[in-house]
Amino acid sequence: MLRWITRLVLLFALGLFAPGEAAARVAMHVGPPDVAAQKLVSWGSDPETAVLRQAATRQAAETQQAASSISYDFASGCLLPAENAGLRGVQLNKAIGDATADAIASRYPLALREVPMTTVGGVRRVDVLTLGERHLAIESKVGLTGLDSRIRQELARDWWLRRTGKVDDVIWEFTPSPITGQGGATPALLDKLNKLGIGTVGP
Amino acid sequence: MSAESSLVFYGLRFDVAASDIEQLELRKHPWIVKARSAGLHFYWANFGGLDPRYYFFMGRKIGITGLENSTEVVVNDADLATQISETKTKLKGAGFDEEPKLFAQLIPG
Repeated sequence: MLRWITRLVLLFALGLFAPGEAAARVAMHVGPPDVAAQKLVSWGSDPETAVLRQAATRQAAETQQAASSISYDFASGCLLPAENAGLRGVQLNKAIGDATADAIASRYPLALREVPMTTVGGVRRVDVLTLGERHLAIESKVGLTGLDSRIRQELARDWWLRRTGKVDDVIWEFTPSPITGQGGATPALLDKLNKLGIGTVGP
Repeated sequence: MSAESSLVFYGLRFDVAASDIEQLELRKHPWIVKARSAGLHFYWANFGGLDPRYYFFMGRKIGITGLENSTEVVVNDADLATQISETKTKLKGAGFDEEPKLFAQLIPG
């Protein structure tokens, strides 16, 4: 009983509990400050960069909020992960993908997220573009990834980006899926990445 | 992560089993061989995102919309009718008697 009272007091204090909603799950956002957005503030002043920065900052903030969304289940007294907080399907997919790419970007002192770059075959949206002395394009892949039609298109554009010197290097970083537990590249994709000289990180 | 996009395709859609994937990756799968010999388009990808669901499309790729692809797909009446007619003929010629359909399929990031 005392445990329940303590919980309710805590939730009142946080402004998260409204009487009559005890059976419902209450969503709250507990994510850390948006690291990617903070990093972008100190970079670049030309108009093009400013537009890029604004877009990246806004999107990073939105996805950070989605990815860090958790809910409190009154019945079990447990905090539930994002997958049970109303995020499903495409939204959950995007939230996990964005959170993973944000984590990769946070390892670099200066990096942009989701940078559209023009190639001969069309636009390539680079997940993480490091700035500074070396421009490194990092593609983040969550879950087991195969050499399907879309991946072939991405590989062709990444190869072109490096070949033309628009970036110094390209790396594909693989992270296991929190849903299936699987991750990495299939042998066919790994072979293609090696042939194209694209580096890999992860399982 | 890939940029979200949508495939617009007229033709047949097949569920891809795990055992199909390696041959599809190497472009040696019978579906690909048949599509190529019949002059049909094909496209296959994971349409389920983190909950993988692979489909293989065979027929006519009308377009792909999305940040890394087209902003729009526009086909006039006459061209669409021609594409449908040609695709039906080619599919039958390749031994596929199923009724083709028009698909607009989201490819998650």
